[in-house]
Amino acid sequence: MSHAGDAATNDQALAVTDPSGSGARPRARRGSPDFWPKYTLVFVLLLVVLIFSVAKPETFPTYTNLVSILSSQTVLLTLALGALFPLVAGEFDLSVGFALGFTAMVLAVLAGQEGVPLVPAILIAIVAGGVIGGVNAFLVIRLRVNAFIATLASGTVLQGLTLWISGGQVAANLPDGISEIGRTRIADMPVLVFVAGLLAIVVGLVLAKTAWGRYLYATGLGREAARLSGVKTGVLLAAAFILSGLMAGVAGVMQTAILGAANPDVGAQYLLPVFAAGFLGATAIRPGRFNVGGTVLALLLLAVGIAGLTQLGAPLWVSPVFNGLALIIAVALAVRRRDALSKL
Amino acid sequence: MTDVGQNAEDRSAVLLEMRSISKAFGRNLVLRDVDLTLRSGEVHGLVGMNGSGKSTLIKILAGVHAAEPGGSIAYPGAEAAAGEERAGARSRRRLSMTTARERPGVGFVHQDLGLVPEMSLVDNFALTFGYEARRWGGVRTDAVRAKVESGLARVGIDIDPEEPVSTLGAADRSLFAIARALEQLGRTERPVLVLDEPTASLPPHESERVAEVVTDLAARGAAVLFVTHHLAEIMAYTHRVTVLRDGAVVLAEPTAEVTKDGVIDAMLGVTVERRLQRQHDAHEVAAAPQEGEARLVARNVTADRIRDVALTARAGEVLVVTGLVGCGKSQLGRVLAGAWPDYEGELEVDGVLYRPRTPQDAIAAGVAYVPAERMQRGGIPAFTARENISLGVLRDHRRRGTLDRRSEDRLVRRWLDDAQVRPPDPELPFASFSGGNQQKIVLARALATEPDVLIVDEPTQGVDVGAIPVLYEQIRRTAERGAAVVIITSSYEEAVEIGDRALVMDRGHVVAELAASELSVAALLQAPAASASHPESKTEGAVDVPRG
Repeated sequence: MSHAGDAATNDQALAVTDPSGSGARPRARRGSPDFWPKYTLVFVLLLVVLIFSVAKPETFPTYTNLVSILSSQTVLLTLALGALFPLVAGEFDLSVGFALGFTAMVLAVLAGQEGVPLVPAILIAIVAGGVIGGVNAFLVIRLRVNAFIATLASGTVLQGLTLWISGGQVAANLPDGISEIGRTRIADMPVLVFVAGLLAIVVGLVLAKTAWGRYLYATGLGREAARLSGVKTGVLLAAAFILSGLMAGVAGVMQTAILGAANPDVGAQYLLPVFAAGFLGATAIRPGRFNVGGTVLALLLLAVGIAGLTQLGAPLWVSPVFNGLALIIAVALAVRRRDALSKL
Repeated sequence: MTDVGQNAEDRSAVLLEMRSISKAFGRNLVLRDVDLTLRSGEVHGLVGMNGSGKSTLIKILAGVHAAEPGGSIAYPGAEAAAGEERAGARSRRRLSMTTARERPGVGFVHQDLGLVPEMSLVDNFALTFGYEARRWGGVRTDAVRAKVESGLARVGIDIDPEEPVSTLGAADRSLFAIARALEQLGRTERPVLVLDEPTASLPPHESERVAEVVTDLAARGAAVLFVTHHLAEIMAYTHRVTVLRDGAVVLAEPTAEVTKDGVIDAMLGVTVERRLQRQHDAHEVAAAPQEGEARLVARNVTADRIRDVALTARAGEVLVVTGLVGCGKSQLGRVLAGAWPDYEGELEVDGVLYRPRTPQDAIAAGVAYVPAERMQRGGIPAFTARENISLGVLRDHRRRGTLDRRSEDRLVRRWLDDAQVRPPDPELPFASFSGGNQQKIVLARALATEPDVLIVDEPTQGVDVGAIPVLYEQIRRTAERGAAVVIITSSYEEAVEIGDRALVMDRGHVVAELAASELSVAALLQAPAASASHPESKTEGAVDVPRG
């Protein structure tokens, strides 16, 4: 790490100096200006639901449609929750999609072709995700490779490994137990939706309500200040990557369970939605920070939007266009907020 | 007294003449009718305390600021009225890479030198001169290379122009920057050079080399404005000295006709000195210094920029470590706080061996640290005041695994109140507070850990005036409850105001220790330079400047 000499340049600090010193500034409080940014996404979601419900009253506002939308987001939500840990800590993990593809294939190969019993196979797949996270952590923290590059590279390697262990073939003919997990429903809702929901609650609590979560945010928002305050930023960063990998493993298991098969091409298509959800989510609930509530809302918004457009007969290409635009809008909003903050 | 440049008997030619230069920022007059004349063959020293108007004067010379109407600057290459309305455009352009393009005919070398260490000498020249383009967009390096070689010859260094700047020693870098400024002036016999603290961070023998080259350039016809804090260099290497105080020239004489004490008196002004002495007396009476037990002891501490430093900070005492920019005092603070693990030497806290390799080690040993650079290292800009204050003690505010917000809020409210943070709103982001209130918040975070040893680097830098007494009071109270406090500051006034005792550092060494009774701005200014009191430092390895 570079260090400044004695020349303590305080330009940035000076730039935000309030010349009046103690002048009271307009407060942002619940019920006032801060309210809008926090809940914009909720209103947008409600509005979109309303529009599609009016446009397609017979198919859109139905329980079947709700089940379909939620189950379509189960894997993505799990993956996005994992990717949040590095994002909160100020780093990217671009390998999550490929880690999902790899662990999904590991489970399929172990259980389908190698005859490993289901429970150990699932555990191995999840642990494999953790190992991937560990390797990413090593690359980023020890070798100091830029996280963006490191995880892009490790993701590419994983893509290759997935092809290798699968022989380039879709791994089907899995034991019944796997698909059983994907098919199990409570009140007509796949049980995996509840699992993902539970994970969201746990991750949300950990990030927002524990000292560990606060330290992780501190690591992302001001690493040097956090380090000098005694926060173990290196350990936290490593944990963030490992958790990201573990969650990718869980998502991989879910994917195989839902499909009843594993496809060696899986990976790249998750990259964008995961980060679109994370960044769009960072504009809501706790604006300016990556957070679980915002991420869930963002995923729902993206899913509802795409489901609605599809029901209205929009062609296939609409979905990636929608995702991409959402990401651009979200990041643009986030940048504007940061600028506004620094101009205070 | 003013410098008279138009005297007929003056043998050397006037190359640059500033007359009646004034400058106001808002209603604050920072320069008043300053005259300054640079002559061929002379090294002209410019000194003054922080805030004397020195840097404003240089910025006007450089064209960053426009002087008030009525002043004039005459210099080679162009005739320019200083009152031109171009400050805005100029200052914006100055954000680009080069440091020496501002005023044609005058070469500038700023303190940071404006070099890119990773790039070669040739490329660093090209930042200023540009490359000649070939057809098809390729670049020709031969012309620039020739310039580099000629420039290096003028300052007497012999290095391969394709080497990166990072391979140069500290003095060579300064000389290289001077060479670039010279080449920019072209083949003139009588270049005008403005050197803004070129020796600030150099070890003694290195700065001697730079000063000698500068003297040599003057002997061959250059006019040099040499800005430095090192009075010894002023006395040894300049022909004339101009002292600024409160924006006005208070002394302008041939160096041979003044003494070092005379220069110091001029810098301080008698009234200022008396005021500071009085303040200090009052403060001594209020807190009668008693010998507390030693809480933090350092012996033979050596690191990248510090050499063999020893210090003892006692309970109930505010120990100041001061010195010029680049003297190593900040690094000493980092070593003590566990933020600089690569050091040698012995540290003790309360008689127990203390080996801080990380900030956690320091905190575990009861040592709290407030770094300089609030926005980069001190606080977390996007965190709220609450999150910043509680960051160091979050572990003590947990209940059944989660954060106990009520307990955290209680702590934060107490500190917002205690530190008089304005506005006292725990949920505002750190970045939205004024500099002074940010500093109160960062200090509160350190104090919330209830440290036995508190280290604060530049406690009031860039802080609004109203916040300073509050910060001093917090620091003073910390000492009074039995902690040892180490304050690192570049401001001698601050050192006198808050310190019970002061160590003066120069180029890595502690060169003086001043007890309460001896502590005054004049005494700090008179502290010996490293070369004088540490003759052995010449034979020691060079003090490296940090790479990059």
